Amino acid sequence: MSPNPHSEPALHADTWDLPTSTRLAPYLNWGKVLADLGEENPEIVVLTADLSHANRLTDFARVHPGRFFNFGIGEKNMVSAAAGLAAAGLLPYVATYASFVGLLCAEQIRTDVCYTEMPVRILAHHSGIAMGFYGSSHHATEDLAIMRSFAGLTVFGTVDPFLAEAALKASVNHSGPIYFRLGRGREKPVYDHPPADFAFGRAITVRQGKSGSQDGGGIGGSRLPRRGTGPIGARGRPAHGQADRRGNCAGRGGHRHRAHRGRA
Amino acid sequence: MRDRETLLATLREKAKLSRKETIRLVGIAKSGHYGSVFSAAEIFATLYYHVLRYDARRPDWPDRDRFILSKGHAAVGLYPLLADVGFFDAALLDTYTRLGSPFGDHPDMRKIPGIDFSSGSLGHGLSVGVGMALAARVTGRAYRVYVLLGDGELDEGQVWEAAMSAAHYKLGNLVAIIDRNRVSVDGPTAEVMEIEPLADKWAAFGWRVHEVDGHDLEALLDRFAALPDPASAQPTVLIAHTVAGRPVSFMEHRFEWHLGYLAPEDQARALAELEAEQ
Repeated sequence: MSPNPHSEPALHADTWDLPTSTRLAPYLNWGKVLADLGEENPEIVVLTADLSHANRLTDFARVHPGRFFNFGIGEKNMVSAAAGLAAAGLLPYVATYASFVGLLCAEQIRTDVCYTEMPVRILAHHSGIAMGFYGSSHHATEDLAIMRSFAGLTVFGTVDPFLAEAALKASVNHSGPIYFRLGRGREKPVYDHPPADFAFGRAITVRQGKSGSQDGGGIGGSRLPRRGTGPIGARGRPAHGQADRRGNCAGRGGHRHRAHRGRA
Repeated sequence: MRDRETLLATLREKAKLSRKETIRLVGIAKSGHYGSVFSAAEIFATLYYHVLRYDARRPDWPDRDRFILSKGHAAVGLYPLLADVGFFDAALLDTYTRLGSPFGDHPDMRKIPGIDFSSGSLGHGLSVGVGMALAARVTGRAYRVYVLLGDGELDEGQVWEAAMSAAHYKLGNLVAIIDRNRVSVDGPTAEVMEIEPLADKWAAFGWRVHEVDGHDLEALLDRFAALPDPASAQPTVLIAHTVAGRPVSFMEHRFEWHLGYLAPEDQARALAELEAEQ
């Protein structure tokens, strides 16, 4: 039997195309976590804007195709539609790059999601400068300031996939909207399992520092705790290279910012 | 036949109620959107007294039809009808726009029973409707979602994102109504931003398109009665040709009356014209 003349040539192991690119981001677990949560929570629906490979929500779409909606490159429509889905009793998780959802859709988030107190969960991934050489159009640093100013919005920055998993699980029973500020899925984990006692707004002690000593995990050996948000938190190093095995500082493993609520 | 005439008389009366109460309530606030309400009054009446399936005692009834007033600035004409059909006590309307009142110029779903979604920022409502229509599919419910848009609102790009997605997802349970009153804040739509050829645009976006006289109650009833099954595979748009400010002689067709205030003497003039109308 002669080989198919149109078959793909055997490509080198280092070569990648879009569907296989997710192996470059081994910590993209959101689709899998949501797929599992979707088993017991039929109200969960997932929306994305033509980025289901980049955020790997294909893992959800494969298991729950009737509850996955691709909105194409129309982010504003997607966010407002998520508010409509939530108003009809569903629990939408909306995902795209932070640079787009956190800036382009700021008004839709404020008006259709926050003021209406809709339980929409926004997965703003590739946040900060995670996109590197893709350029400033794909960076999102301003989103934190904007989202923190919205009434009733819980803003949560994760450091790694384990914290993201714990937070996503907790989000199912959280009232009100949430803005998850997520990384690119390439950042090395800080934790080795999802923190068991996770709750929004509660700090997690990763490592106990020593009072007054130079390995206290503080800035310049002081007692001040280090703070960082998002994957940059995982880059934190105690002074003088006293990092623990996880390379983490004795700070908070995740941050939740809660804006003032407009009304009870 | 008599039932039909009774229905038409009721709808005429309710459209008049919407306009009269708008004059009264805008008088409290000393500012309001007369023109935008007056073009939509027959549409409001037809929807709330005949077309929509709802239960005013259970505003959250999951199987109810949804109505989104995407042109939220016309809410002052909708509030009196929501009270009249029983969502809340009409006496509450007297607080309109006063400190602590649930009623502002734009409707808030968290404060007003019967408002299915808050609105005010133009261009969002059809997207919200897309979400509600998709939700009906996910949850296996047979309701319809009606969205009333202004024609000036169609300048917003998000409307066309929503139109594209509604056709893509084959939302036969979604009905857009365009209040084609031909004016926006700064002037005639043809001068501010041309939106024609409007029917061709919606058809090109994959919608079933119908045009109707938005003040002709019989035509509105017939058009709503002929809507396809919610389980069908194409969204429907009704382009309702209307007159801003109708039927007040000094307001009709005048973009200047999109927003304004009538002093008590002129309120009386406008009310007299409403009463004289058959």
